[in-house]
Amino acid sequence: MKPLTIVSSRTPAGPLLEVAGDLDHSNAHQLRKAAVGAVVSSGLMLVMDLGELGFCDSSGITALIAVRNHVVAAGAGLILVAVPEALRRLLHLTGLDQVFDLRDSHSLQTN
Amino acid sequence: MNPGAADDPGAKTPGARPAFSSLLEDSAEDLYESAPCGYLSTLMDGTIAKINATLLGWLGLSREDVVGRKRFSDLLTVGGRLYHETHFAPLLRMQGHLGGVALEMRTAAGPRLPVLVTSTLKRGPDGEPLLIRTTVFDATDRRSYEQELLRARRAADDAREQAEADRAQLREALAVLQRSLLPDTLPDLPGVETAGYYHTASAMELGGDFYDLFPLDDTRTAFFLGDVCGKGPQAAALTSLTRYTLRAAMIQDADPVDDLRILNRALMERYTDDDPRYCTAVAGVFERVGDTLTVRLASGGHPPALVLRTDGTAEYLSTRGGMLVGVLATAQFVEVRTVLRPGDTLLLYTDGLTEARVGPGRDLYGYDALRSFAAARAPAGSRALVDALTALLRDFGDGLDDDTALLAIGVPATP
Amino acid sequence: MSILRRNNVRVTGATTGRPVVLVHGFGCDQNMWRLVEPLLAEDHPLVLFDYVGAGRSDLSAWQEDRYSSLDGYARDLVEVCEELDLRDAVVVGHSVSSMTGVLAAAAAPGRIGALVMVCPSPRYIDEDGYRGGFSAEDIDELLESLESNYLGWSAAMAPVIMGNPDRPELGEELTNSFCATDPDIARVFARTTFLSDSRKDLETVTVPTLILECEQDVIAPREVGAYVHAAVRGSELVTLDAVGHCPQLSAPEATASAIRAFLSSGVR
Repeated sequence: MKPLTIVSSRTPAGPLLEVAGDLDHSNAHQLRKAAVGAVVSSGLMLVMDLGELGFCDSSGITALIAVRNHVVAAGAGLILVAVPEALRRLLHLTGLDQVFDLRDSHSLQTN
Repeated sequence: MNPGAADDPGAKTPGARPAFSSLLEDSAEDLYESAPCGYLSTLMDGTIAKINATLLGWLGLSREDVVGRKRFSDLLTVGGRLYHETHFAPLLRMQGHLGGVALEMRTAAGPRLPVLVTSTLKRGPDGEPLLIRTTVFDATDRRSYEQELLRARRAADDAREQAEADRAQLREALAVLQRSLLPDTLPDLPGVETAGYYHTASAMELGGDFYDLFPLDDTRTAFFLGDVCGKGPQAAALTSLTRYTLRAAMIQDADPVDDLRILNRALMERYTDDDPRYCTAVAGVFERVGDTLTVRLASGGHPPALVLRTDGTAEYLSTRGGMLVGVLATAQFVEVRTVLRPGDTLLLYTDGLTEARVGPGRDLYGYDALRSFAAARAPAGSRALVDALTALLRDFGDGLDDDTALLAIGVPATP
Repeated sequence: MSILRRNNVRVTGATTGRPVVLVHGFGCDQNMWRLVEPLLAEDHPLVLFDYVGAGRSDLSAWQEDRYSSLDGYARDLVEVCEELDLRDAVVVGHSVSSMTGVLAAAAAPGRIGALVMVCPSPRYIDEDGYRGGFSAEDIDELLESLESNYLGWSAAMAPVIMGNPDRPELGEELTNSFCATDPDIARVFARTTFLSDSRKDLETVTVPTLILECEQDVIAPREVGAYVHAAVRGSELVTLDAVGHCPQLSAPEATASAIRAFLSSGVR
């Protein structure tokens, strides 16, 4: 079990959260808190870089959905960047690839 | 310290201080009599030959009452006397020394005096035992401390027993609740063989998988199987809501996509945005037409159903694009249709099966392995298939750490 | 587990002659006989053992139901006699083991040919005109006394009993603590000893019997010695000039010579 770390910063397009480690029921609330803390305003994009994300179970999915709901309610958007293969498969299987904006790398965010 | 070596003995040596000199004047006799512990010497038969004032004071006895008249064991309570005869005296004889024995003495005033007794044997020049020297410490405080410890230990034992009983009761209650989320038995349907199985990962935690199967009318039967997010009581509540919502919806409307939409709306209404609760589910209806079953099923984010054909093949029924139920108001659900002929079997399962960890690398069991497993057994009746998968789950051992539900629906091969 | 290991059986003394089995009572173990042993060893093969639960016996063989009645202890004695194939042996039982000897002699006729009872009492509690010397409350008090000593005194011994090597300084002293017994086992033995009633069994004795009592013994007073003497047909009673309940320790010579005199008087 790798501890979860979330590094928050800002880019011209909006806030960036770099999420690393394992995401499960014991720490999923941290992700929600970080998203709420990364103030997003209408028209901006919250970018979550999941390149270093390890294990992610259904509580992790729940947290991602909650983050999305929060961002959408604020009139902003959510982009998931560098989603690991296992999570990508899970998102496809559950139809959530239609809900989340999945992109390969950071560079796209500035487009 | 050597007082003679000091330059100014009057000022620096302790011997010059009044307190120290009075200590030097303290006679051995006075020390014996008024020591802060009891002293006692007895002959080998226990007769008391010498006793100090401290002990006499504790016992409320006069020297004349005791010396030459009483034995050591006479000073003890009856229980203490028995203990003395069976343990203390023999040990002292054999070892020549015995320390820290807890006994109780009888005082003239009535109350008992808890004491700790240490004895040594004094021997003559030829090694013959001559007399027994005994020191007695007042152990009143210590004894009450010990009794407090004993009481605490008994209380802890009782609490542990109670906790174990509560735990057993809780386990029983959880098992009853868990069973209430599943059908007791699957209905007997002419020309259809069905089988279900539920694996519980933990007896102390309610699982979040569910399935059901019930006739709608003479020819049509509804079924569903799914997995709610999370575990424990909240997951069980969600399971209950899901199961009964789906059941009511399917009785009302035999279109599986509509039924999943109704469930989606119910979950969205019940749970808020920042506490999303969702499930994956497959819901379907099959209809008997001649000796075949025509099946319509819809999936919301659930792993694809598997069909075992009578020709020995196994294939997934893709429902890709169907979305988790309870996440999005505009969620899409995908329907797929198939026909089961004699010897064909449809398998629904939850991801506990495909996500079990296997082999030395703890790899996911996965969809390919499941299809190969099924193809190797096809054609297989529902019961035989579920039994084979149950054995597989057992073989996973601790690689299987999630609840797993199985539901198979098949048309028996024509004889 | 062989009986010999289970009961920590030790065979010593002469290689020929009438075998004498020395049986310890409640409290300690076969070491109780260490002062008498050399005095009998010249003329008799000697058998010593620890009851299961006592001394260095195999504690894992202890079962509460078996050792909650004197029959269980008598079975230990009989099994030791059988294992060594003893015939016509003299069983010298201390205290409660006098009664164990009575039960064993009835159970294994031929193996046990004579009994020596050292400070026997068939019943410790007074009742219906019989004076055993104690009330039921007294026995409760002993059990309490045991309990407090297992908490205080024996708490220090527990690591040794358990074979805890962390406190070697205790080990040195306590390896000599023959009375160290698992508290639960001791409680069962104490209850069995002090609450049983063997008065009826005394009438079954058919072998020659010597009763040794002490001048002053709070556990088995002379009144009780007289009762046993009257109840066991043809028994011989010897009062030793000793105080206490353990003449084999306080008066080993007198104890040994009384036993030798009894055995050389041609009892068969």
